[in-house]
Amino acid sequence: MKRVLILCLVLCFGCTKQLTQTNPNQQTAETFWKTATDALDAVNSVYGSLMLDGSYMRFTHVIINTRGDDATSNSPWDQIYNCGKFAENVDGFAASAPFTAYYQGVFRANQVIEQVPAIDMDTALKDRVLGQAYFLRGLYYFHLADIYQNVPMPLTIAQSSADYYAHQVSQDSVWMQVISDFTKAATLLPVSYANVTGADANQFGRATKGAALAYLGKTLLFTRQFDAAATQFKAVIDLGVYSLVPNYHDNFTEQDENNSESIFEVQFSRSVGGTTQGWGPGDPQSDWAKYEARAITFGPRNFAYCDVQPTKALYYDFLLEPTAGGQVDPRLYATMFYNTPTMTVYGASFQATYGTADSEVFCRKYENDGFVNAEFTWQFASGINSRLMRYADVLLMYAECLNEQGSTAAAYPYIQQVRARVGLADLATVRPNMTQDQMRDQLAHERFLEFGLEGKRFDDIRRWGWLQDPTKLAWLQARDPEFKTYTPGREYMPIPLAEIEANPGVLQNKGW
Amino acid sequence: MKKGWLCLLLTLAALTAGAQEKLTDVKGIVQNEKGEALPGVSVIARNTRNNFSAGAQTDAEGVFVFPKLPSSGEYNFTFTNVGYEAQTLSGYHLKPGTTVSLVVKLSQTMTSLNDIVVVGYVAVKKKDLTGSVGIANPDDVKKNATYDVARSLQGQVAGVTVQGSGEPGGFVNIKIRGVSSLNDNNPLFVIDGVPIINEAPYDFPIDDIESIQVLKDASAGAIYGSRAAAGVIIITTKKGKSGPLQLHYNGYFGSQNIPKKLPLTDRAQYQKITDAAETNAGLPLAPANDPSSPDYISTTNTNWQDAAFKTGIIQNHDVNFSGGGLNTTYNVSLNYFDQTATVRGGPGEPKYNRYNFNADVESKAGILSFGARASYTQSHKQDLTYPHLHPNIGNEIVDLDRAIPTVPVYDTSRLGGFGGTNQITQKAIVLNIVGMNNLLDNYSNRNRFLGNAWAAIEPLRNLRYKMNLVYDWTDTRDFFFEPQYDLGWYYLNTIAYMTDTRGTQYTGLLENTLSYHLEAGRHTLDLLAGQTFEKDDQQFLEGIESGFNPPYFYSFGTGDPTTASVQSGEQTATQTGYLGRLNYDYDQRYLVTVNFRRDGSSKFSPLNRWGNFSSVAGAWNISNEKFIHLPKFIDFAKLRGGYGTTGNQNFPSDYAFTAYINSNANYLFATVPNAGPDQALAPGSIQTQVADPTIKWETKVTSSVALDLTFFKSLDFTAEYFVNTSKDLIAQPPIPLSVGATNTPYVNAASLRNSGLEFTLGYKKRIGAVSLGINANAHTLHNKVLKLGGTNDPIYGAESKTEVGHEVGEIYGYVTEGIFQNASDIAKHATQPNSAPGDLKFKDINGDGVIDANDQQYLGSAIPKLYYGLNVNLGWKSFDFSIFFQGNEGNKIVNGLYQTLMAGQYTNHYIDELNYWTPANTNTNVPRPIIGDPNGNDRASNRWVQSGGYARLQNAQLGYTVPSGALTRTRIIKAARIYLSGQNLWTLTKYQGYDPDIISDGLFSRGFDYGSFPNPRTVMVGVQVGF
Repeated sequence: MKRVLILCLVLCFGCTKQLTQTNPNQQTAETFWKTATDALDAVNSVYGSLMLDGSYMRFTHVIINTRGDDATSNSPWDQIYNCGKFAENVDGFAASAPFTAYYQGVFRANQVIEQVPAIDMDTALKDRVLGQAYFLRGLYYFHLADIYQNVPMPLTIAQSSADYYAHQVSQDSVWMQVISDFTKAATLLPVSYANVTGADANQFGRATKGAALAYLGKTLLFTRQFDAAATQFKAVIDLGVYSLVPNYHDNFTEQDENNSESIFEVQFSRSVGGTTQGWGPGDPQSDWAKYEARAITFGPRNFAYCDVQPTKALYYDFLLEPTAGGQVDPRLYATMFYNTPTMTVYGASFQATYGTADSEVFCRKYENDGFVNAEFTWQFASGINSRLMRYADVLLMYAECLNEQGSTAAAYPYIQQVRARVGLADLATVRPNMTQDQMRDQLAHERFLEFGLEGKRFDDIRRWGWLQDPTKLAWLQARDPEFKTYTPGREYMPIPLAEIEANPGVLQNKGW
Repeated sequence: MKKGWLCLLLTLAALTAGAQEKLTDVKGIVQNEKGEALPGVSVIARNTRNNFSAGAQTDAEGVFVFPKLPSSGEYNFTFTNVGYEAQTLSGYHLKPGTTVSLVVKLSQTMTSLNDIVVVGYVAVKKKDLTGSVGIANPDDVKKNATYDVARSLQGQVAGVTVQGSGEPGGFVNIKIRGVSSLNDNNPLFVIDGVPIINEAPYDFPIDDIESIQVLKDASAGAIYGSRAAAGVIIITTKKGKSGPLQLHYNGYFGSQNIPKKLPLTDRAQYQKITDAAETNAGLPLAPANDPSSPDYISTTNTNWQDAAFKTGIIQNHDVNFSGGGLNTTYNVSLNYFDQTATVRGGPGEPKYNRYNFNADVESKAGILSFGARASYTQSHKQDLTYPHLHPNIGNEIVDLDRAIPTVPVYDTSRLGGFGGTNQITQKAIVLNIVGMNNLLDNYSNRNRFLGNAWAAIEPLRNLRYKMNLVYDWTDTRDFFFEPQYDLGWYYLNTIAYMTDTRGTQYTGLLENTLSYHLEAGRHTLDLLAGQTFEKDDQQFLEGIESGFNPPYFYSFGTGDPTTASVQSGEQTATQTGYLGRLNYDYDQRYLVTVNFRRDGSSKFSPLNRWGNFSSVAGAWNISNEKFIHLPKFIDFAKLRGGYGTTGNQNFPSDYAFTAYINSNANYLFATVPNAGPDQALAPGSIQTQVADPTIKWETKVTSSVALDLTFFKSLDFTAEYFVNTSKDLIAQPPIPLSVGATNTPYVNAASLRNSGLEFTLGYKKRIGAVSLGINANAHTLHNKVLKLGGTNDPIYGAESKTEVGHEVGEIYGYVTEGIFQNASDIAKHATQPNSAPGDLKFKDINGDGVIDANDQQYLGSAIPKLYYGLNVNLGWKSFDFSIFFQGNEGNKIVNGLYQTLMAGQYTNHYIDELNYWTPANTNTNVPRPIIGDPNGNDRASNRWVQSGGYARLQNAQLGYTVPSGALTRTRIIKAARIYLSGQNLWTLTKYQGYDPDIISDGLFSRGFDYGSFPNPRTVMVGVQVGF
């Protein structure tokens, strides 16, 4: 009997010790944040939020393009179909996916900004790490303010469940934070990673001083601070490291990524990483691919899903001004597939595929035409980087700032740099001595063609106040019938219902 | 006296047997009240002087023999048989060299008062119970042809609710006294004293069951500790009996069909509605639906329900060997179950089959007894599946009904040979389920070994120590292969893809218990103390590869090696507990049970690791009270009640209290600027999820009061009222998206209360050649949410809202107010964005002049108010007949399938959609169809809410037992019964879906039916043969 009791006691004691189990699969947060490698790995992960379903893998492209008058949707999926028609449902995926993706990025950036300063490491590398984190947080909040207007703004890590409920702030407050983050990033970041010392040497695609300055300028322009914006754009130009690539189309293929015109782009690849597309807002898995799904989503009918198409308005605007040599603007060919006898689509004849009478047009920009016989072949595996900030944009935004400052004549040469690349005649010759207003319209036209299907048009329409101008709105409705269902307030996406339901005090944007 | 075999053997049999020289033969015959022979009756001979005992069984003629019993001393003979009152003949003195002949008549049991109930490590008679225990009639339960024990309990026990679907091998939801947890509400299954942790009822054949008891409150279940919060289902399997080898075969074979088809549109009707939807949206007609187009489809008219539904086969075969010597008994059974789907589809169609082998041996020698058991189960389940790139459109039934009539089932021009839609001409995205089932291969194999060994020793009289060891090991293989195929628009697969996941999970359990029994005068005391330790471990290894080319080989390395990847993981949880219990009985009048338990779990931080749980219950046996004189027709009356707490830590995360670094959050950078795709992976690690370090045990407080009555020696009746409160429920309530986490952390989020009344009635009567048995039960359920998280924010599900003061998963949405007939109608109504004539008008519930998310309200309860079951058994001579009705009342179902078929988009329609609004057809409640649905006619609203109550003839069976006289000549067959049985034969319901018995998440979206696989109608024949 005694032996039994002793056995029992021994067993009991052993059991209690066994109650401590540690996760054998993952490192705990307490043992992280110790070394320079931790810091660099952490900031790398902040970039990871750029390639999510809700960000530039798919749905940000859908939202920022379909709402402009350069793109439209006939998708059978309501989440895409209704997007450009300003008829999203507040609990839909289109409303929640980008919101979720950018806050995931903010959560990661906040960790780097909060934890890395205490790490004992090379100060130059630490500056670069922090600079990138500030840049990316600024970029994520830029998207949140730009897409959703008034949003919650957590800037620190939640320590307990009591910290989950960040207050909603006004769009102006978010813009101020974005300006602050980009300003810090510009001082901390290098012009290039070609000459740095550290594990990040010669890694292209990281945020640079130029990227921070360009985005700082863009934010200042969006908040109509033209003087300050112009200073930033001029600083980018004066860095002397950027130039327009001779072939416009090189900005949208996998062959010429991170080129001299590229100031910041999201890196995608078909050959690096796993083979499982990381759909939805899930937790990153080891087999997650680094693909983007824009190509198959936007590509032409029969070769891709064709959820997004260019408008005929974009097509006709390209025909307005031939090149100095009398040719069609080469950007038309790079931007879309259209009905012309010599046009091929993924190696097939356009007219043989769609008929000669059909006047539909399809997206070519960011498609893999020429490398594959249909986007379906690679399924969702396109590797084309998304160019978020091109030097051409800096030139045209700088020109816009000059015009808004009253220096209309000074704007000409910057616009002409962009026109000259595609062989258009000197603007100073064909349209000399424009007034400030005329120049505004000219810039709108230039931007429309240069950035067609790059998701910049709706931002321009909104910040220029066209939606509040009945004449302009009627003009837009004539060009893109999707604007007929625009109602005031819907220039911003709805705050996702899930956020409103879970975060007391967050109010829906007006109009939804 | 049905469940008492083992206990009688153990308690009546003596522990030692002395060697004797003088011997006597004892033989006899056992008959029923009518003088007919009773085979299979257990007979125990016990020598009262030296406790020597021996066992025997009657043969087909009712004859038993004890050859050569030691002669000295006085003998008792005890006769027991299922369904009969036990009888003991005592005071026999055997004379050496003679033969004693006995004739015994057993009478049938009419009440269940003496049924033995296993309550936490010990067995008591039902009349001595203090806690809430429901007893299922195993004969009724086994009439349900299913692979799943839980499924067979539907409608059999008051307080137990079961939801299932007709998917072969699909899981079922079983709950005892309602939702008590926001995670796993499945009760703990204890099979022969072995707590089965993982998916217990799933791998276990029903034929082996001897008895089933359901422990419903803390007093009864607490001793099983943290696993018992959702209730305990105790299953005792058949054991061997002393005597020669007995061989039994049970088998049935039947066919299954889906009893209902929905009225869906045919080709012309489909095209009419879809054309209207496009015209209303200002879109050109899809050429395939446009009579003026050369691509117009006028010849294909597929009825997808006819094309896909088929007859499935269900069969079960069980062979059982049992027997034993004086001190050792054995029982070995072999079982095969096979069910094929009611949906067509070649090699990939859903099906489930299972092989089971079970061996049990028990023995004793002196003060030592021991037993061992080994079960092995192998199952193969062909799953409902989806293309891996398109996993979440719906489910097999939803996609089947959404498929449009203008697509053929077979199309040899497409890769794979099955039809699909054309992107340009048809625009619809639909999935050819028949094609997908044929093309994709997705199965789960399980190999499970369950081993159990126990040993008990009685060093002193009435003091017993028992050690129980359980090892439960499951190996799983989940395989998925998707070839290249073309199933039309959207469902085109150009890259063949394979995953193969191997998993192992095991549970090791050690229990030490010490029990002591003391009787002194009118006092009876039972004490139990114990300690348990459990370790659960799960591991998986998954391989993924794509780029396979035909001919396909299902082996890694035959695809594109650059796409190959592998993942693995492991998690371990441990828990330990200390338990104590006291049972006290004064004079068979006053009974008290007190439980205490202290449990520790590795799932909580060291600060919150331990929880203490206790309960007390009492009973007053009124019929034994001297000063109360009950009317004569009342044979037994008992009042009982209990109060107590149990803990729960059963939620699916082993390390929820710690935050982790995700090292897969990587990115890539270019190695060369201004060039092609020269990029390299940049490792990324960061915290992507949030964790709550303060998470702690859930506590469930149960209380109940009950009255047990027996009348006229034939009628058992129990009425019981219970109130259960679950506190600190661990859940994952939504957190703001702006936190930026990829998870919702587990927190102690909610408190719920369940209350209800339960009634159980049993009746048995014999009038001449006719016997009648009735088992009926009914219970009500009322659920209320008391608290939700720190902020009491409601939790939203599919068209439901869970809020403090309401039920879990109450149905929630907009209220329709008719249709806008014209522009002035719209102008008069509250602002409803994007509405036009023909669209639905929604009620401005908050009266603010705008229709938005605040204009939703509760639309009904998803929890039935009343559940009931009724078994009626009739016997006449050699024939037996039984029927079983089951149903529930008072709940609503959101018919999500109807919703998707009434959406008026490109997919197929319910015929009700034909009555859509047009300027010429204004007297309708169906809005205009319009592509994109800008008004949200399809939104969650009372349009989709339907009554979920039903009454179902779940089972009817007619059996014939071959008279034993006719079998005597065979010399091999000792007993035989054949039967014809039907299941799900008739349903009374207002519900418009396939089946009101739906499977859903069982929680926040519990009332949402999104194509739950309908339960089939089964017709089968079976035989039961004893050799």
